[in-house]
Amino acid sequence: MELTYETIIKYMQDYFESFNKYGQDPETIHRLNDYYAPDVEFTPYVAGIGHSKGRDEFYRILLSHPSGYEKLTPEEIVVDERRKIAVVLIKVDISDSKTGEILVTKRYFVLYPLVLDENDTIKIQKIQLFWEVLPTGALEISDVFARDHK
Amino acid sequence: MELTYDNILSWMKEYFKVYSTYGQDSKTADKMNDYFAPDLRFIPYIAGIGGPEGGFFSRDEFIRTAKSHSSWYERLTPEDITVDENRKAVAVRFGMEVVNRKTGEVVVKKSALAHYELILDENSTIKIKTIRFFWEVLPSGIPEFYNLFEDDA
Repeated sequence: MELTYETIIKYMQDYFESFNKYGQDPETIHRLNDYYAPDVEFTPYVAGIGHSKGRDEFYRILLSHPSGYEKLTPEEIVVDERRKIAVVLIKVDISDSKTGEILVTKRYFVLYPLVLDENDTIKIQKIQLFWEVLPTGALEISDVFARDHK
Repeated sequence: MELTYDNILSWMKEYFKVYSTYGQDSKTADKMNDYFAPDLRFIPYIAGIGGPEGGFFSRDEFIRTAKSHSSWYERLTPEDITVDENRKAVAVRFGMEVVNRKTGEVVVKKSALAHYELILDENSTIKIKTIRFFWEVLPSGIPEFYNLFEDDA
């Protein structure tokens, strides 16, 4: 697959669909191997959220909050075909896994540098995350995910 | 000027330089008229500065506010510029330093990521129409610029 404008857009749309379907279930999370480079680096520009290096470490983060489900909906995809980068404005809904009730809605803005691997398939090499700062006192994603660490 | 990849890239670099050098001084801030569309919309995804429903709704409002804070200014340094020639959009990750004008001291240092929608105006010059702005969340207890300069934010 070539890294053209259209293939990058399509790939990012597929990625978000797969993330929502498979990305938080230990039985299916390895389907995301199709999207992340083995040494994918997660850099959150958010104090309190840990940096990670490597697919397995990132999967541990994704699976660390079973009581809260994170649904990502891409709203704007900026693609730099020359530099092989996608930057995506994402609507995020965090819901209670049991009841389905949406507990937090906010936006992420994320930069994804991409590479072609040895099989010529696109992979995400880095994830640089910024997120919306909610008003003081509002329920935060970290509050929801913290329920799993009590 | 055409909205090509190279034109957009060089125009964005110039924009950051001009904003940091002239955009927050009451004598020179009107230079920013060259970069913003009259109906500019600035959307901060940061509750402390208005949240996505707030921000600014015109170029005049943005410039008026930028030149009104006399005790500090922000210095923005682009670190990663993503240019989408098809959609006429740019995303820029940049370093942001808030400087105390009196002492020259950098009092806040963080990263930010912003999305810029561009248009060509009636004179075929590039203008920013929308800015969607996110910034790094610092550890609790570290003050933001609006805490440090409460009366001049």
